[in-house]
Amino acid sequence: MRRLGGLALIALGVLSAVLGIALAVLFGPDDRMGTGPHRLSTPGQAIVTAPEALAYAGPRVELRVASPGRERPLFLGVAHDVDVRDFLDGTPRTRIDAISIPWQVATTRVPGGGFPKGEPGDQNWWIADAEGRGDAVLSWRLPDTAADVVILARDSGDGLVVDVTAAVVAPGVFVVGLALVVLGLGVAVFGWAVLTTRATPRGLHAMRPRAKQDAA
Amino acid sequence: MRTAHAGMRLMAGLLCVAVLGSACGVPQRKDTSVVSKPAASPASARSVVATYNAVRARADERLDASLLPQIEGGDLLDIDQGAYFVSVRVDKPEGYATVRLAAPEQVVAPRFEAYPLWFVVLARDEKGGNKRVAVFERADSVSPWLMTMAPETTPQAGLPPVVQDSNGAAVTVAPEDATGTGVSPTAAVQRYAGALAEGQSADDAFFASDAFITQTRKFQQTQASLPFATFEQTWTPQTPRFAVRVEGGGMLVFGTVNRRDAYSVQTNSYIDWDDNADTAAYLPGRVYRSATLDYTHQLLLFLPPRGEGRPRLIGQYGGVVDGQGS
Repeated sequence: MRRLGGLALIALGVLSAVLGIALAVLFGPDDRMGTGPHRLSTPGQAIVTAPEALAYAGPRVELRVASPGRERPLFLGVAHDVDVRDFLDGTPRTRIDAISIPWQVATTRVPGGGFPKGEPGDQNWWIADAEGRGDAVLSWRLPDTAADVVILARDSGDGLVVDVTAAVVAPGVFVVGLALVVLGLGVAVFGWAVLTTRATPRGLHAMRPRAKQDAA
Repeated sequence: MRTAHAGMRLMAGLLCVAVLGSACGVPQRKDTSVVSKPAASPASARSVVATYNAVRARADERLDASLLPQIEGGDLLDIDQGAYFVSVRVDKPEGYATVRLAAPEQVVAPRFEAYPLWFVVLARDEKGGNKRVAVFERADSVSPWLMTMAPETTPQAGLPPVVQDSNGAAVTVAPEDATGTGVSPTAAVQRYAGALAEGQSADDAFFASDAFITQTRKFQQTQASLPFATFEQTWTPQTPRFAVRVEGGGMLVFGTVNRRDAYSVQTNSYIDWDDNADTAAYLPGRVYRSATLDYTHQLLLFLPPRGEGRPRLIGQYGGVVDGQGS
């Protein structure tokens, strides 16, 4: 049993260390695991994700969008699909139907001849939004509702080309990873010690049988 | 052996802490087939009511009807602008009941896959004392929430429990759906208009008696006895747009009926309505030939399950919206 316990501790320690190394390497000191930049373009005025493209809830995500070349005023927002569909009704745009990791997107062109129904920054239903000239950064936690991400050029120029960098942000995960490495190594060393150290009888319970033998 | 067990427990505990610490960030697959959203949460409904109160207070203070379109729409806007018009014309601003809603006691919010959105709140009117069952509508994503219906009910009134779907949203009823009640929302409002109309009809006994029908009957009798004029009152129902299912199989139906009071004056006679605020505002001076006054009334009807009693009026709010005379 002692041998088994030692082996189990070593296994747990190694597992913890591997997990910690994986977290630290994947996220890095900035606590971000990302992909990009990737170029996206549309002949319309906006690039929008479909609800199916954001099929997960929970993690905090950071989206960095830059317009290459001239610095165009950009608006980034994430909102419920019902709001986004109505807001962009009639606006020519490109819809991202699916995103595969590391990076492959399936898109659909949505025709239209109009403009968004209002100033995007004036609406109160954005879960998160950001604006910037030339680039903008949006950070939000993926909601458990049907949400769309909107990339919109606030000038009325035709077409939109952007470079997109997306990252999952987990504050503190790099430190947690290092801590798991240290902890795992410690547990593994302890397990090694348990495995290799011989048990020696101690205390009254160990002494009494010997005394009985002597008496006999 | 004991130390080995203790070590394992420590390791397991630490792993649990690490996992729980980052649990909120663990990706969870969600159901993307559901693309509807509830019209409002209790918090957003409170915010909408607060916005209404803020603008309404400014409008009430100055009797400025031009502010009302920011917070009201549809027939309710016509009614309240008419009330302001009357108050200003007869120079009795203190006679007009101002409105300030308390925090909603109940929020009834269906889910929608597209605009327009609407939800219902039951809230006490801190100025008037009664409760209002108000419908707020949002036509599209860039329009403000507008109160479009607000039947008034008693201070003790409550709404029957509303059926909720698996997401906790109220279940709506289509205008022609008579399931469970034997009468659809459209038919119920039509029959209520029939019960309000002059003369006898089968609709009179269809509803439980209420103060609105009683007052309307009394008014019809009073006007019919005018010595030098003939009086005719007509009621026209609108197709109801808001109805929700309540537990047990009944429905709550918001309906609107338009009323026209028409007077035809005999030769060499006249009508003088000096003592009536509505008519004094819309028909100042004497009317020698004919006059019409248009009213709009908003109703909240409860339709019980078939065989469990008669439909009844829960709330009503209305007023004069136009008048012409010569």
